[in-house]
Amino acid sequence: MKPEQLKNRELVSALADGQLRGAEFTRAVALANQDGDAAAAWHAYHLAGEILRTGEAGANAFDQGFLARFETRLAQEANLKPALADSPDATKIVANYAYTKRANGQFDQSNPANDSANQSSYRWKLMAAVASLAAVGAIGWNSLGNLPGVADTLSGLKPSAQLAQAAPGAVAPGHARPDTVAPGQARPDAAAPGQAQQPQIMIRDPHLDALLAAHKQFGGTSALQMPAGFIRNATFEGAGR
Amino acid sequence: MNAPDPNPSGAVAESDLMLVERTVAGDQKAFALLVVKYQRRIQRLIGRMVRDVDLVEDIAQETFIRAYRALHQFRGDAQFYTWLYRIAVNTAKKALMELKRDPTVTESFLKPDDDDETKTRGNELISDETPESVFAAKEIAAVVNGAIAALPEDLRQAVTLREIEGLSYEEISVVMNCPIGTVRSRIFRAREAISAKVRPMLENQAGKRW
Repeated sequence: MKPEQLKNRELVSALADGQLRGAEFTRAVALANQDGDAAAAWHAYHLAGEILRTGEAGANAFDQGFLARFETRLAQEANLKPALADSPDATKIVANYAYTKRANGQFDQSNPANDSANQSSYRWKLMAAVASLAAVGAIGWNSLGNLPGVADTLSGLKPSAQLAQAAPGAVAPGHARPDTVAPGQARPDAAAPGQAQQPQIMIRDPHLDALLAAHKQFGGTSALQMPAGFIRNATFEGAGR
Repeated sequence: MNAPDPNPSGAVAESDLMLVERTVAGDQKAFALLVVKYQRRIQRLIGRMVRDVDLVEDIAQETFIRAYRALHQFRGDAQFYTWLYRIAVNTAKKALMELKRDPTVTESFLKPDDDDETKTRGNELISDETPESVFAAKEIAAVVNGAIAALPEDLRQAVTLREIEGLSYEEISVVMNCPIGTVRSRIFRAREAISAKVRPMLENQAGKRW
């Protein structure tokens, strides 16, 4: 054995007993990490001490890969959770995912970062958020459809064979006139630049109007969806109440 | 729950604290020395609470990771091992709670609640221990005890006072009536004599996990 090797081991022995300070301490720490022989000495000295104190070695006495596995896992977690180093509650972090996976036989050491501990509940929350947005959107769309003017515009989008009969000469939106304007040319009834447009023709379905008139007495609104006066000012006067 | 003090020497506690301070300052390798120093003790502690050897490994790893993450909170008012002990127990208990909630986990994963490190284990095997691993562990323990018995008296006394009684170098120098430098030299030579018998066994069994 080389004298320097012996000296390094002696430093490691003193380090194990807390006898080093300053530069000696720094040098011994570096040796125990970087020098293979010194690292083996650190491991052997502590194992021997434990056997002397407890009288037994334990099945993991020969396991010299624990540190390597720890450093690998620490590096993986550092990539996943960089903020944990500043967390004041680091000791309380629930890192139970690996244990559950292990218990279920699904532990994957090579890829521990695919799911977080709350992944399952996060999925449900995401679904709930999407469903809420969809519901709000549907309600908003229905409300938008009830606004005056918007409903008529929306209803006018639906082609109907009766429209042509109800208003001869009127053309439903989306249907081309027989004298369709060629591309590039302005429509004959389009307002010339600078002039106000003529009022749009409202297309009404006479059958629909008849139905609405027959039922408006049962509804609180007129065909134009305005609140009926008798509802707004409704009172009830009864004798002897 | 009593965490026994495995090494009451103030010098060792101070050494651990210095390694902690170096780690907090950015030297991760300093923490590696603490991991190697306490890994077996922590695994033995957790092994008293959990049967599955792989789970013991996972919990031990998690213990050291949590300790590493919380190292800036370690104030040094207690010994590092005492602090680490509490983290190990909490981590193991948390893992046990999760396992108990899992209906697919059998009772064979679990042991009765017992985190007292001073309680000696009986002769029962944990689920993944093999007769070979038990024999190997007993063999290395016998080698260490034999090496101690073969030491010259002064070396045996020095290393026994240090490792078993936990005396500091200063206290040993008083007991043995010799300079501190001599104490340091005797303890090193004793360790070297033991290590000369143990290291070949470790190198032969390197990487094996029974």
